[in-house]
Amino acid sequence: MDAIDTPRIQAFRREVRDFVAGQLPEAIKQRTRQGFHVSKEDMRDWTAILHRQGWSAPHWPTAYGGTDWSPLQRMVFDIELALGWAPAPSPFGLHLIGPVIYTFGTEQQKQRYLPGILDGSQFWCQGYSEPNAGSDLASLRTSARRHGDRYIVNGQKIWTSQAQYADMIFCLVRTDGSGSKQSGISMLLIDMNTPGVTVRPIITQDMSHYVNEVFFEDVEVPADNLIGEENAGWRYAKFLLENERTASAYLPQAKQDMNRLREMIGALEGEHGPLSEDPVLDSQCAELELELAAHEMTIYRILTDNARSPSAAAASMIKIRGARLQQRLSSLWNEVLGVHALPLFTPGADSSYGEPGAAGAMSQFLIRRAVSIYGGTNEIQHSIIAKRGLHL
Amino acid sequence: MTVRSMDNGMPGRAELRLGLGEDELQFKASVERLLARDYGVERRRVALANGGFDPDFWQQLAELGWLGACFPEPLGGYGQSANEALILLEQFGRALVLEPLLGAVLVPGAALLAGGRADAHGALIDGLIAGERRLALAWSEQGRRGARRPRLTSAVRDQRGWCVNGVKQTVLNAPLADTLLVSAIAGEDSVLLLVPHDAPGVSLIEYTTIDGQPAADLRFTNVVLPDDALAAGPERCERAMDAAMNWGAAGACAEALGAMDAALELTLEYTGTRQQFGQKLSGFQVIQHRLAAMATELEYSQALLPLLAAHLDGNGADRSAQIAGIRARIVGSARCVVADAVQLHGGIGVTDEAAISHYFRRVTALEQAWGSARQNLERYRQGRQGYDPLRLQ
Ligand SMILES: Cc1cc2nc3c(=O)[nH]c(=O)nc-3n(C[C@H](O)[C@H](O)[C@H](O)COP(=O)(O)OP(=O)(O)OC[C@H]3O[C@@H](n4cnc5c(N)ncnc54)[C@H](O)[C@@H]3O)c2cc1C
Repeated sequence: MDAIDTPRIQAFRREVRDFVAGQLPEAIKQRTRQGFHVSKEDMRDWTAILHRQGWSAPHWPTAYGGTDWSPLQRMVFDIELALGWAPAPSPFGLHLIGPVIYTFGTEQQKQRYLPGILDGSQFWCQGYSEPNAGSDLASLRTSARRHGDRYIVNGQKIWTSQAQYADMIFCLVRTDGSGSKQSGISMLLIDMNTPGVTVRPIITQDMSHYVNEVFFEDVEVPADNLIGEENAGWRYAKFLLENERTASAYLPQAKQDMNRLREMIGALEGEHGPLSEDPVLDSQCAELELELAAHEMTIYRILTDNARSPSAAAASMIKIRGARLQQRLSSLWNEVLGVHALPLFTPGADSSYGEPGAAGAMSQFLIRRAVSIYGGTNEIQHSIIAKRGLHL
Repeated sequence: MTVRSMDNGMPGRAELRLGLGEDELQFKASVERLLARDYGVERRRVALANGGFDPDFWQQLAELGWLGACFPEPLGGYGQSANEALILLEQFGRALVLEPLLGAVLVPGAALLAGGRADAHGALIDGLIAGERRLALAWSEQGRRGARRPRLTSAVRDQRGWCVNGVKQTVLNAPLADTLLVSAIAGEDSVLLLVPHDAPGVSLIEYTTIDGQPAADLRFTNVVLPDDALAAGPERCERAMDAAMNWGAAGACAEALGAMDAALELTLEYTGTRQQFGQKLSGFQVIQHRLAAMATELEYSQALLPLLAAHLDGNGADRSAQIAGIRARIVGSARCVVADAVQLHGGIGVTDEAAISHYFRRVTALEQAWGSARQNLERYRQGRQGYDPLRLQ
């Protein structure tokens, strides 16, 4: 039986904690602590540091540069990194396309792409959603037509996170329009520097640039860049989604959020003395602590008890609740700050105003309306639970 | 709003009128008409780009006489009851008007009136009503949430008058104000002082808020003011602050009501057009139920508006607590409605370009602007007398 607090795991926890304390550059730590979107440079530099330790992709098989840690250990690792204010590496290579490449890719694709993902030097983005294919992803229309040894790609992607940083994009494209919607989709790896690829920023309500539109106009892509078989892209996309069931539960994030909350409360006073002594606020915190505890225990149970919970349903449950926790925690930051929650801050801008700690927190609060939307909306997740978990 | 004496025998609130009168309905219609005609998305966008303020629009408000809404007739305003201002603000909330009727006029105006020295500041009040002057209430301080008693700003009285030192943080619409109404600690007591924006020793760090309004952090360094800068002395200061915050709370309710109404409308429109899985989003029962719940929330919030007006116009000992309670309830509902509205828009809902995100941001700001939602609930809990806000017997 697994336990989370065995001496072995405790020792591992300490090892990771010491590593972060010793290796995370102070400047990066301070920027992460502030809370804005992590910059490309910080993601790159921190991934490189992890890579030198052999820890940049713990969830990968050792043959590809990963570790042999148990799922529980990997979660402990992620939590310790977050609590030490390490920036989250870009997920698109390490968590999304990397596993697809080592599972379904050709030898050449593995050699070409995995090293750059592992050491943090290459950035990827995910080209799935389109203006008319959001929740209904399978109705995507970006087309790839085969011409000899290449594909010609035309169409548009939207909401592409970090496209402005990316060297490569992995795209779902339509290679066959005849059969069912799902059956004519392929997965292509496209170099962002190919002529005909255009990236246009979308500004979100936190007034920052994280997502983009990506346009493809007669973009030539070597046929070697196809993942697996033509028209089997939906299968790889599903693999990718289900590969790490607990990744979108954002447990490390929620624990970090809780620390941020405690710090804020510690720094402020209210009408009748220190906020830390405010019973109303404390009862709100207490509620969230218990919700977080339930979230955390659910995740540990899923990680160690594969047989029991229907897997897709469990992943959806913790995605929904993880999103709700992130939204509730950040709403409470608001409440703690009161009127000081109002100034708009943008990263890098003059921060000579406002309450210390408010800047990135409010930016996070605003962008977190998206956590119940991206990666499958709450509504879609509920449908998955109903269908796959309850067989309705 | 002036504190009137009660003559209808009702304990602590004015008559509970369930609808609007003929005049009020006409007024509401004319406000709606004007905003629909003159306050479009484009004008707002330009104002946003220009620091969140359109001087021509402000002048128009003055010419229409709308800036006098919180001032009683003897002082040159046209305030009959709280309703005019609430009507106006509800429509402002609907149209997402940036210009700070609440922050620059109603809230500080209420403090001026309750400070007991309104007569001494007649010219200022005239200027406010005429659109020539604007105030900002500078009360919030660094490291302090919702604390109304000043600590980090002090005022010392000497033979020259007053000398002010200290800091204020997150002062809404301060960059637009020619005069700052500043709370300061004077010995054991608190006072409210009128500080010209350009007085020597006043400095501002300006920025915008998440909902596009100008704001600033302020510093006062040996700012010397004449005796008659006093807006509320020690014996009236708390009352003046209460009056201001009551108006802030009530105004936030009215704006939030308008905002949630508009957010529901936008969401109905969007989900009725956007298609996924071969049908309109509003064809999915899950979406229909969510929209139905939002509409119910709106209905329940609108129903509280007359009660809010009755408490605003009243003079009950627990008036502030009652207003705070209603605010907690309405703004809490608005928060849920705009969050759902964003959710039902999907990705587009979190973009700067989408109107719905501006409603979300506005309601988020309203939630915290004049005392946060929870704090208001707490104020109600502690200050209420009896357990029935309606008080019908
Ligand atoms: C910040 C951010 C980052 C993103 N990053 C990426 C990225 O890197 N790559 C990428 O490909 N995509 C990305 N996305 C896109 C994201 O996955 C989509 O926004 C999401 O799938 C929803 O699609 P949509 O926005 O078109 O909303 P829609 O599908 O139009 O949904 C609108 C609303 O209708 C509801 N709805 C839709 N269908 C149903 C139904 N059948 N039953 C009940 N309710 C329904 C939804 O739940 C939602 O509330 C990102 C989005 C955001 C906001």
